[in-house]
Amino acid sequence: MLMIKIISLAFVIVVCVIIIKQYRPEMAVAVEVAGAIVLLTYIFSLIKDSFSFVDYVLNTTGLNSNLFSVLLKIIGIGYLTEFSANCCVDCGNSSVASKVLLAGKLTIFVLSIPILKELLDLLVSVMQ
Amino acid sequence: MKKLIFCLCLFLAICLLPCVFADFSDEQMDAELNEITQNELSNLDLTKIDEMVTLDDKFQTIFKHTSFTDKVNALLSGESIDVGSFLSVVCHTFFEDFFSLVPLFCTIIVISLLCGVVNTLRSNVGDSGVEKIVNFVGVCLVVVVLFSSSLNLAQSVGNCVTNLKGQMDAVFPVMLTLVASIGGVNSVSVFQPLMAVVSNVIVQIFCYFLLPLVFLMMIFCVINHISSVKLDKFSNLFKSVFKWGSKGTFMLTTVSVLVGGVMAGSFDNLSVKAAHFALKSYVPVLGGVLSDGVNLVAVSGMLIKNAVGIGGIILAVSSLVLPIISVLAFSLGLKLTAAILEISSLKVSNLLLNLSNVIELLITILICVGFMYLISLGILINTANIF
Repeated sequence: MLMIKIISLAFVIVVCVIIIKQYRPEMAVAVEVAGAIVLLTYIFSLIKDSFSFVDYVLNTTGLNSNLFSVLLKIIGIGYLTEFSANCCVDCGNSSVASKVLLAGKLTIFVLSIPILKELLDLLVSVMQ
Repeated sequence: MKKLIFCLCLFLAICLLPCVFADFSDEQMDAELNEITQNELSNLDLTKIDEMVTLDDKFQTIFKHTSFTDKVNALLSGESIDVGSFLSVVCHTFFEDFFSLVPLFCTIIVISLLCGVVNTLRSNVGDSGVEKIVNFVGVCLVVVVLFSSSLNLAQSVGNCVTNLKGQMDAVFPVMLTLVASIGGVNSVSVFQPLMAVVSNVIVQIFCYFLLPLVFLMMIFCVINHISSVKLDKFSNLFKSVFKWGSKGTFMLTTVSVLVGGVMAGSFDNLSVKAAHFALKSYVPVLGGVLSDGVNLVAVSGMLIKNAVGIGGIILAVSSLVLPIISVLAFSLGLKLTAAILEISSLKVSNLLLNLSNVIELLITILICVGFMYLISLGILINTANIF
């Protein structure tokens, strides 16, 4: 049902953007971005239910929850970075898109430092 | 005077005659043999070997005794090796180890699948690189999760090799003393330096050269899969050094122990038989009795030697089996996970497969060291079995 809502909303946004582009083209981008944000909120409500699954995975596998949350954050940041970069490209701002991508990569790198540190510690312990 | 001496000799001979006949009675012979064996065993210092017996549940299920002396006593009283319970312990341990690793492999599958989700990211900016960096972090996390377990396994293998060395240091001197006590002097002179080489040099080669080589291969395997730098040539070099090192060491040791043992054993057989013949033929009147007495003492020594040897073999097998099963279960689990992940993440799948191949080398180390020890013990058991 939620998916039908999302699809309907997407169509409404597309129609609105097409109509507004004819009369006020400068406002079309704003409408497009606002529509995308509304869509994202719906998508997040979809993901919300899957958090219990994450808990289940953590309990079953005994994986370090810190490392797992870092991985989830990295995947989320990856998605958001791509989404924002695509939005910027759609609006004709490729240079801003590349900056967003750079920021995303840097954030992922900073977040992955604990994992890299642990890997390095393991390798050092092997060498010792 | 001559008559008196003759009468005395005749009297003594008549007195000893029933004893001689009594010696040939089976029950009395067994009782006497048991007594001598127990006496010899009580004089034998087995405390060093006793220290090698652990009270771990799985070990105890295979070894079945809390001390080595008890085991030797049980073997001397005719305890047989229970193959059925041994196999059931092996199977039980394998499945227990395998199922204890299931959460680890589930973790790897979940991480790989989550990273695989990011592969669906398609940018209209071109090659954004976000997908690659997320995959890199995912592989790093898999390595972190996997490497700590692999490291524990390699350390347990190292501990097992050290434990085997301790067993060699404790069992070989006792065995050599027992071989010497039953007339295997030539064998002892051949075996003493050989056993020293086996327990010190060879085990050191495996512990301080070949085992670190496996660690290095693990590291190169990881580097090959998490970075664009390929170190295949280095990996192959280490692999062939390991292969030739283990094969060469094993061959040299086994051949020298076998040849030395067979040669020295035949010399001992000859000299002991000659001594028996001399005792029987050249000592008048009492020669036969003395020869039988010597036989009895030598047979009891031989029984103890064989019991200590077989006890040593059981002790070594009990120590070897558990780490080998753990490595096998881990390797099988890695291969299974690699097969599952082949569809979603080829990179992680290849990493797991290569790592499982490297980890299997740990089994080679255990089997080589164990076999060298068992062959040496087997040769010592068969040495000086003259009667």
